[in-house]
Amino acid sequence: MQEHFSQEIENLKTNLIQMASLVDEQAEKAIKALETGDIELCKGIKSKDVDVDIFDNKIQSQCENILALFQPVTIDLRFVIAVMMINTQLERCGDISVNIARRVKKTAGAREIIKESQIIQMANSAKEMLKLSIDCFIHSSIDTANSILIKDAEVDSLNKQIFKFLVQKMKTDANLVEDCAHLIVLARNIERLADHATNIAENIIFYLEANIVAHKMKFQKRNIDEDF
Amino acid sequence: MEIKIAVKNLNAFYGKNKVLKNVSIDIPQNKVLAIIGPSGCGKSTFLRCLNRMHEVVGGTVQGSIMLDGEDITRKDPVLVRRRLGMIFQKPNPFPTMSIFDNVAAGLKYNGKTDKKETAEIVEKSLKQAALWDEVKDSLEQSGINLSGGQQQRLCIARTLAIQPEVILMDEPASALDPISTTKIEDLIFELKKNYTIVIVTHNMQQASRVSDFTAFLYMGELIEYDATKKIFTSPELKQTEDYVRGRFG
Amino acid sequence: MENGAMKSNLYLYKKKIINLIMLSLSVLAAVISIIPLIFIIYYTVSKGISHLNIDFFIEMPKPVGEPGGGMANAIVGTLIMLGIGGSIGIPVGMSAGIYLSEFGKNKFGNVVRFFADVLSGVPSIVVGVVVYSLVVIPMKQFSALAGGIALGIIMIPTITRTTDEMIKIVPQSLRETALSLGIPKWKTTVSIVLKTAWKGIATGILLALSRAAGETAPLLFTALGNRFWSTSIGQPIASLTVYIYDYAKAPFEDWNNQAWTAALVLIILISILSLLFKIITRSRYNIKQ
Repeated sequence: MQEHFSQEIENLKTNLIQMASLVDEQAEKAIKALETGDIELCKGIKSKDVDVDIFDNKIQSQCENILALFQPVTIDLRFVIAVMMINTQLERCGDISVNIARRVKKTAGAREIIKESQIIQMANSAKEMLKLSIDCFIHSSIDTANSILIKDAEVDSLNKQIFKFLVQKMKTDANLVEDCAHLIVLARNIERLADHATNIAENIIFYLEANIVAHKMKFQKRNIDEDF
Repeated sequence: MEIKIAVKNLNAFYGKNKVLKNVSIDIPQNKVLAIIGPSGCGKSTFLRCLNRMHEVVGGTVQGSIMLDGEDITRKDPVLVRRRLGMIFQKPNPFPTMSIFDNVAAGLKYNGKTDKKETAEIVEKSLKQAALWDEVKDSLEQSGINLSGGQQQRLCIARTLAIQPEVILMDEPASALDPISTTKIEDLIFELKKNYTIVIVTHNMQQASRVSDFTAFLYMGELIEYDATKKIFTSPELKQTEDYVRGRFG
Repeated sequence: MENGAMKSNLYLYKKKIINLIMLSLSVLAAVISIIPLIFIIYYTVSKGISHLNIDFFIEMPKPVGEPGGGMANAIVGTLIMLGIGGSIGIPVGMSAGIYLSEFGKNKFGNVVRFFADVLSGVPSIVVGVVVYSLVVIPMKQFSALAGGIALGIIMIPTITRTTDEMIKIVPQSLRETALSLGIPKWKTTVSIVLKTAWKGIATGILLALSRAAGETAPLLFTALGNRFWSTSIGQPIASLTVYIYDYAKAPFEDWNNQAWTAALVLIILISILSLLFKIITRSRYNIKQ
């Protein structure tokens, strides 16, 4: 019984890692395309998304089965809950990669602005965060998870700077408006990617430490009692 | 939260064998305390110490058990037992008695003989035990003919009839089918409004479903005692976590 | 494959035959065990029925040669002595049994149990001799009392041991339940335990009474017998068994036949007794299993 359960958990973990590596590949390709301007790289990102979606459903039903059949408690329960949430985050990351690829194609003619803004730097940070979060899941590393949370602030502030920069560009040259608008959305997508990586890290902290860290700063600021 | 029973440094023995080692627990009023632990951890002994049944099988205790501030280890066991009713694992109505007489047994043999009052208490107890509707037309039938789940509710009614303050349950549903088990669990939920309940169970899901607090006993020692929510999500100790996850030994 | 199937068929066949043989043997044994009883009843009824009439129950014995007459004095005598014996044997035996089962898990209990077993093995004639020297000699009189005492002593071990065993069968959980309801120990024993074990104990009492009713030897030394009407417990008293003993060995055919009738009456008496017990101990409820 116990062995059977461990096997189910192991199986679930393997599936999530496989899904994560697919998503990681998508993000990696999309961001590489952004960095190099090689829009050939964008091919295949969208078709991969179907594979990710298959994993998404598979993992969800696996989690349901485990909850129904084994009624896990404590760390086992948190693991299944965390997997369910990470599953959703990863699926979104896949979608976001597809969106990034689309914007990269559309802004192929705006290499100058891309290079001028900090958008590549931001994309690399976000990609790094996603990689770290996957690593963190594989190795159950609480330190890595915490480092991701710190990185998120960095990406957020970059996003703000890029936004300002692009708005400034649009003001100076009306011809740039379309490219800049696309780039604003692109930056926003990258910011979302980093957010999801952060959420994954938070889920891993919940799994390992039974501690819900999401929204913590906000609650502290507003003095909301966290004893639910 | 008011404390109904304060157990302090309780040691229990069978002959020279020490089965409970220095157990201290504060049992809060109108809450359900579940005692979990592997077989032989002393959880049934703990329960039986609370109503002085431990000594019936030749056991002895040290330490104090304060019920509303009175040390029950120093009082007349018969009087103690009227304040702490007990439900056993196997439903065991008195075989020679009718349903009515079963419920009235505690009253009758404790000297209450007023017929009208007895009838009222019997009805009230059966209603509290959620059995009244099923047996009201067959009160003079033997209790043995009822189903297992009904028998157990009859036993609960029998205990309620002596109007105890605390109800001790020793694996009350382990001999019952799932539907009867659910009924007993619902009943526990209902009863805690008026009684303090201590339940010993092997079934961890049951402990997590019905109790407010959970105590984990192992080899006669109290390992961890906390809110049930805490024990089943993030207990302090690895030993407790391993046990509730079913990874013991 | 086919071979295997055949083999298993053969195996089943063999099993069926063994089953059949064992069943026939046990049925045979059961039949053999009831044959003596059938003979006893057949002979007693066929030989005793001729004198069985109302007179037998209400008339006194007639002198030799006079036909008819009855054994009213012996029937009453047997009942009186059973009454005396019962009122000694039942309370003493049951109390001892209750003591043994509820409190007798010690050395003294074991000693009592041992003596009860020995006493039940003592030949009844020895009991008669002892009562003779302890009661009859000091009173300088054979008496119904002495007979009753002898029967009572014979009943004690059976009742003690059945009470002990029957109470032991009552599940411990029932005692615990009663105690947990705050019922004191002695009330638990009397109202719950004894009540539950009552059917078994009653069977034991019945067995003891039946055995006592059939005793002859100890009565020869104690109640002696009496050809006249007497209900005084201080006087010698008649009994069915002593009459059977006297009449069966007498050289008169009429008396021999009356002995058979007395035997039949004794059997009827015991049957009525068991019937009474069955009625008394009948459960109030139909217990479905």
